[in-house]
Amino acid sequence: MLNSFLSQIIDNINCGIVVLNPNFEIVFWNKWMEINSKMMAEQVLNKSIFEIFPHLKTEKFIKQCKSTLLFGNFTYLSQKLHQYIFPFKPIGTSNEQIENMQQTCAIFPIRDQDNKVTHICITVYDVTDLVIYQMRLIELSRTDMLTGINNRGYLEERLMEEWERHKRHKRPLSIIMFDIDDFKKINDTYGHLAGDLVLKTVAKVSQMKLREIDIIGRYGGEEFCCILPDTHFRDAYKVAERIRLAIQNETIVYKSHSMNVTISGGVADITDSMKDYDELFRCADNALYVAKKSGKNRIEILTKGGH
Amino acid sequence: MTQSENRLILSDFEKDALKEIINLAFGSASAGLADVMGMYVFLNVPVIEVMQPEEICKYIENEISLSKGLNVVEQYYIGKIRGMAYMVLSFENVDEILTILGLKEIQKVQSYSHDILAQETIIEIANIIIGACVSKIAEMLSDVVTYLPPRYIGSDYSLEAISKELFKPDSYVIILKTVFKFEGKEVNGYIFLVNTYDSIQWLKDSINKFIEAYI
Repeated sequence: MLNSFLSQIIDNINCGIVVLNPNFEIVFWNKWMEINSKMMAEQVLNKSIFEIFPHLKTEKFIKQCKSTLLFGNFTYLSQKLHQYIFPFKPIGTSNEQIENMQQTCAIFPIRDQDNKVTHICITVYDVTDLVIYQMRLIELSRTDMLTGINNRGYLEERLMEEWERHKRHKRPLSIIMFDIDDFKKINDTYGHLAGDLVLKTVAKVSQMKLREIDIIGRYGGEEFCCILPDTHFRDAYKVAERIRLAIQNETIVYKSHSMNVTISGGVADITDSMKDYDELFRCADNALYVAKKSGKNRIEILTKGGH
Repeated sequence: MTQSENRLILSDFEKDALKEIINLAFGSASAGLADVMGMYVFLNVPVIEVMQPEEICKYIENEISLSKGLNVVEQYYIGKIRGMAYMVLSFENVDEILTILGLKEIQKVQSYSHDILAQETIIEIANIIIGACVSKIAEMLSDVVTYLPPRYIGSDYSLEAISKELFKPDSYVIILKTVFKFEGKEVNGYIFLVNTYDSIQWLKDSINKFIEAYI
C-alpha cells in the first residue's frame, strides 16, 4: 500500500528526481524527468549521467556530489549561480532571454540500514517563471521610467563594479557627464511634455553612439552619465563629441514646433590617486561645469592633474 | 551565567570529552574537505561554551576579530542533535574565495549583480564546510542529521534576529566555535554551531557512551 502511494507521489510530484550510485550511474529517473528530458527511464537507467549529459562532467559538479557521498550533507545548487543542471527546454514559457529551463537543485544522501551513504538523490525544481518575474523586477528597478535608459541607482552600482574591476586589473575607465543646455527654457516655452520628449530623444540618440559594453543612464533632471569601460579619456572625449554632434543635428518635433537642442559635457578618467568612484564623478562634473562656463555646446576634459 | 551553572549543563570532563570527539571529527572533515575542495582546510581546536540564548549575539560578536563588513551564512541542522550553524567570513576574503572555487571572476549571468553572485558562492562554500563539520560530529556520535538550505543573513552583521523560535529564552545552548583556514590562502573564517537546549541531554548521553567505550 505504502509503496503504491509512494510511487504515485514520486511520479506525480512537480519536481525531478534522479538517483545516482557512487559510480554516477543513474538508478532512478522519475516521470517528471522523463517528460522534461524526453527520455524514458529505460533509456537512461544504468548509464553514467555523464554519458547522457556530458556537460555535467565538470570538476565542480563532481565535487558537489562527492561532498554528499563523503559527508552525507545536503548540497544546494542555486539557480543564480548555475542557471540549470539539466538542459531542458521550458514547457509553455516563451521568453527570448531564457533558453533553458531555470532550475534550483539539491543533492542529498541516501543511506542504507547501517546509515552508510550508498547513493545520492538529485531533486530538480523548475523556477523559470520565478526567474522571469525576478528579471522583470530587476529591470524595473534599474530603469528610468521616462527615458527607458538606466537610472541613477544602477549607474552608481555599475560604476562601483567597474571601479573594483579597475582596481583588480588596472584597465582604463572613463566617464562622461553631460546635460542639456538651457533645458528650463524648453520647458517654459513649450511645456513639460515637450521637455519630456527632448529628454527621451537625447537618451535615444546618445545610446546609439555608444558600444554595447558602455553604460548610459539618467543621472537626474536633464543630466546624463556614460560609463566607458576600457576607455582612455582621449577616446572618451571622441565619444562625447560624437554624442554632442548627433544631438545638435537631431531635430525634435513637438506638435508643430521644431526644436534643436545642444549639450555640454565633461569627461574624466580614473587615476590611481583617486580614493573612490565619487571622485571620478566629481571630476567629470567639474569638467561639465567648465564646459558650461566656457559657452555651452562643448565637451571639456578634466583629469586628476587638471585639464 | 556563572561557572557553576555552566558545569551543571556540561561538566568539565564532558566538555573535554566533547572537545576530543570534535577534534577527531574535524580531522576526518579536513581530510574529506581536501578531497572535495582540492585543498586542505585547517579546522582549529574547538572552543565549547554553554550559555543562554540572549548571550549568543554578544558572544559571537566578541569572538570574531574580522575588521571589515561580514558575510554571515546560517544553516539549520536537525538530527538527535539540533541547532543552527553560522559561518562568518570577512568581505576582504570574497575574491580569494572565488579563486578557491576556480572562479577568477564571477561571470555576469542574466541580470544578477556581482554582489548577489558572490553571496551565492559564499553560500555554496558555507554549505560544504558546515556540512562537513556537522556531519562528521554527528557520525562520531552515531547520529544522522538533515539540513535546511543555507541562508545568507546579511553583510551587515545581523545576528540580532537570531531565531527565538529555535533558541527559547531562559534555556541554554552549547556553542562550538572553530576557526578555519584554507591552506596557502589568506582566507579564514569562523564556524559557530549553536545547539538547542533539547539536544543537550542527548549530547551528554552520547558523550558518556563515547567515554565508556574508551574506559
